[in-house]
Amino acid sequence: MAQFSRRDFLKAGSAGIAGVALSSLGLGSILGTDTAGAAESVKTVVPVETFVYVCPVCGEKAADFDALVSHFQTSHPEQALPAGITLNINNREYPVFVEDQWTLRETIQRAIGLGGGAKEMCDRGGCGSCTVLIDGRPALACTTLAVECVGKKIETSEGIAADPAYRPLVEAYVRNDTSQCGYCTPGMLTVAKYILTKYPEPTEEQIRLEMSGNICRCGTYKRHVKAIQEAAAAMKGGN
Amino acid sequence: MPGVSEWVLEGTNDDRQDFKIVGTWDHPGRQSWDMASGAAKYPTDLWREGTLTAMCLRCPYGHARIKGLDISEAEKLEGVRLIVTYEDEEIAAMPKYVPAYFSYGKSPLLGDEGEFEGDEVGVVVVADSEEICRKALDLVKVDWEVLPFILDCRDAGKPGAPILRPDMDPTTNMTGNTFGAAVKWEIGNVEDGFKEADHIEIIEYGRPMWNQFRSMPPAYFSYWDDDPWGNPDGEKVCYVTNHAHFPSNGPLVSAFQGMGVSEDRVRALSPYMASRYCDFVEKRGAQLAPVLSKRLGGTPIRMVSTRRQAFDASVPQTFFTVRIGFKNDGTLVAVQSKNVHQVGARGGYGDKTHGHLVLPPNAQGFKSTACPNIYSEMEYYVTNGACTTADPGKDMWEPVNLAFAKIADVLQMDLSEVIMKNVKITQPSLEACMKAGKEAFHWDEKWHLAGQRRLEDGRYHGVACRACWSMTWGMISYNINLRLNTDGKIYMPYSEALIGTYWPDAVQMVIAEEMGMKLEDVIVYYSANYPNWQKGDAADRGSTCTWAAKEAAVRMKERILAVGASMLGASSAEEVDIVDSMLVLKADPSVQISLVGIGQFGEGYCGKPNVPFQQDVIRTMNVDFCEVAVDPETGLVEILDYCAAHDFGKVIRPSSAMGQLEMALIMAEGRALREEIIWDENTGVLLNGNMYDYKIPTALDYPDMDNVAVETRCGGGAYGSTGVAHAHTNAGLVGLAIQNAIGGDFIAMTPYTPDRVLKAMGKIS
Repeated sequence: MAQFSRRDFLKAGSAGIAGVALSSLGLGSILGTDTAGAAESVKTVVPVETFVYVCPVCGEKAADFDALVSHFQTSHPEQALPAGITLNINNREYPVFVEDQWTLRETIQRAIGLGGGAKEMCDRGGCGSCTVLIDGRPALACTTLAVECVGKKIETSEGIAADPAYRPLVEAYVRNDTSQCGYCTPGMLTVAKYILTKYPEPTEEQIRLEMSGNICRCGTYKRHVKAIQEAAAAMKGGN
Repeated sequence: MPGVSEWVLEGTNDDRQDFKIVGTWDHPGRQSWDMASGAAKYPTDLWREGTLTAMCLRCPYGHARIKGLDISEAEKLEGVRLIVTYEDEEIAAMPKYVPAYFSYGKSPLLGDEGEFEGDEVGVVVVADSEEICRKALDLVKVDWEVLPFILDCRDAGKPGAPILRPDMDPTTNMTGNTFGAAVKWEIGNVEDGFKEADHIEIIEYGRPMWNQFRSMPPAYFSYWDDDPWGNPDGEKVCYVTNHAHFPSNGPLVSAFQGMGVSEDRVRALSPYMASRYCDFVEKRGAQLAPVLSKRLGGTPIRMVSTRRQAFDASVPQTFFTVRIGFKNDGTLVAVQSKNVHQVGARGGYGDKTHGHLVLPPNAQGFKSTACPNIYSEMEYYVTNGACTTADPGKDMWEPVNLAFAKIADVLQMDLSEVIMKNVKITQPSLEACMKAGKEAFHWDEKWHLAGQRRLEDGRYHGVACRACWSMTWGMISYNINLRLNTDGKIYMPYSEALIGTYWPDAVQMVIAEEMGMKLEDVIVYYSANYPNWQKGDAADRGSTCTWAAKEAAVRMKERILAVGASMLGASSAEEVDIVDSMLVLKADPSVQISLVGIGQFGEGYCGKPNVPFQQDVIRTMNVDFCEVAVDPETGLVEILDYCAAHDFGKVIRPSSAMGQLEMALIMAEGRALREEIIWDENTGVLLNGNMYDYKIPTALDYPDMDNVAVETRCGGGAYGSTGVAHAHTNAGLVGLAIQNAIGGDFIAMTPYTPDRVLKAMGKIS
């Protein structure tokens, strides 16, 4: 039975997106010429010389970008050339090569190595497990293309947990057993931060509404309401 | 006279009353920070450089056999690294080791027969990416022999039904579509009982297949690499994800059983398995991924399923028709039950590598009533539904509670009184649960005769309650090993994957309690290189494991005190104690020394309390209450209030104990109102295998829940504790409350969707 995959669909329509990403980014910054503007805007910049040019299709390592392009032309003539982009994730710049149709979730897991935050549950935008914050607003990483995220600030649960300002939130999550199996919890923690930025004193109704896109099979919803309200109280007046 | 449960607490200190730690709140789980932050890596999160993806061919028909295969075009596809078919000799010989019950559901690891739409069959492709796997599978030319299929187990028993398993072993009575011989038993004389009855009624209860819906879509990750502790024989070690929670069928176990290697050659990669409640399926990936990896020189293999494909683990259909006879005072005197039950594909509760048969419903629940005359007839039928998972005992109470509600409705009696009148053993557990639950739920204020109350907004108001077993648990021996280290702390390793019951944290509390240690000085830690006796995490683990831990802790304390006595100048161990992790002279508590540096001791215990696996009367019970509102125009049901009064025996860790109740009630809400696997009856194709069409409860759906913990000390765990799992996921309670709201007949089939409610109200045909 023939299947028409999302990859096929995206590849058919993503050439323009990739082009924009590549041209707006400026390949020079990816290839080793750091840009002062980028350096000022982030807390940490990954030294580009540590970057390894790995073929996202077969995993073969290349010496530099040109070698990678050459590798593509010879080994994967039917594949779209991966885009070289920089993603700002948790206030850190990650230069990565992604295929045009790679979702942000795939990219975070495979190219960045942050596997635990944006989790795969439904892969169709129906569960919220892959939620990240993009410029402060919840977004589903499984239905967001990585190449769309250039120039935007992405935050995952790992970043929130590492932020001292939101330590009361994580502590409230831990204290209230908001996790059972724990699979959906990072996505919910991410939404929880958004709720706290939107509502200084969130009501149960507001929390339940904002959380309604996040599925928890263990039924921990009540715990999240309590944890978020406790965190809001602890963070009241600044933190 | 109410029946009384006779039970003597077993083991050392099981009757303890002076708890300092057990039963207290505010002890964050050891893994909680990692789970919340995303630091915890689940099998689907794992990725290593060079990882290849493996996917199985899936059967596109309701039932079909592969007559011929041509993989030549697929092999030519760029990025394809390996293709294995069912004719592969090594795969065909797997699994090498099997548990004793294997014969019940025996089937090849990778066969030529697809037993339902979406079944893994015939071919596995390993490629650079999931996309290439899919393309390769599309290029595999399959000559299918389309076979007749059956989706409803009631159809499987009809004359002329196609025979799905002509190859079944006749020596085990598994022939045709019947899985085993029909089970018939009788207590007393049913016909005499009906003659004695003042009323005879028929009740019906049906349950469709529903999906336990594991949050994590399966992704078995495996690779072979050097053993950092040395490869004495030159063999590399297999690393594999470990995500199923039962002792004999977790992937780690499946892996070494499948390959026929010793367990020390297999290492778990993650302690997290997400929500896989009583999940007995999907061990194919666990067995195939290590073999595929080995053939490719140890390359990491990620064997994946899509979300839709992950819908192949479902709880089976069951259908009851029960004739009940009862007296004018509400006493049940005769039960005649017929139950037709589905066993899914391959005749087992069943995964494709181990058959499994677990607690199907039938009329067992009626054995817990005082009814003297019971006849039960049960038939199991193989169908082409997806693999089925465990069906623990609580569903046996669905027809029982329906019978109680029918009696109450006919005689216009309070349902809670009918329950107490008819359950055989009511003290101490059931009576305590009923009393506590009625009070918390405000039953006496809410209960009314059927169809007698409307809410201010015009909706019908209904309430109901039901009783059920809280399985006493204590059926598996657990192996606990404790070590006093030179740092003065007690260490206990475990290697089981976690499902969310917080059992390691409960065990930590019990050990600290028994030994007199500070909680932070007891370290219960995950050790992937500790191939322990048991694998898994479930209700039995969460309760019985605490019992074995208690016994081990008592022994360890005795050893420490024996040494400590001499160190404190006492003449015997009885003169010293451990208080807050310090060795203390009882006569003068100011005389104390630290455990740091006193030496290293090891102590262990392996065993279980003397609790039978299952019997007719379960010592620990629970009662649930439910309040609903029914829209007379749309038939939409809203659950307004749930209350579970659960006999935990003894609550060890309150936060997680109550969390288990919340989980079960919310799952029950979903099952009652929405959840149902739907197959196209013309094609056998699954229609709602996604999260938009198969709706599970969200944060907007959960009702008020004021749950009550009852403690009778009657369970099989430490201090008479027991587990929660399964006991409250019954959907039927909501149906009883709906009938109380709208009057008339009870709805015979779950879930109670608006169309069924409107039909019961006579508004649609």
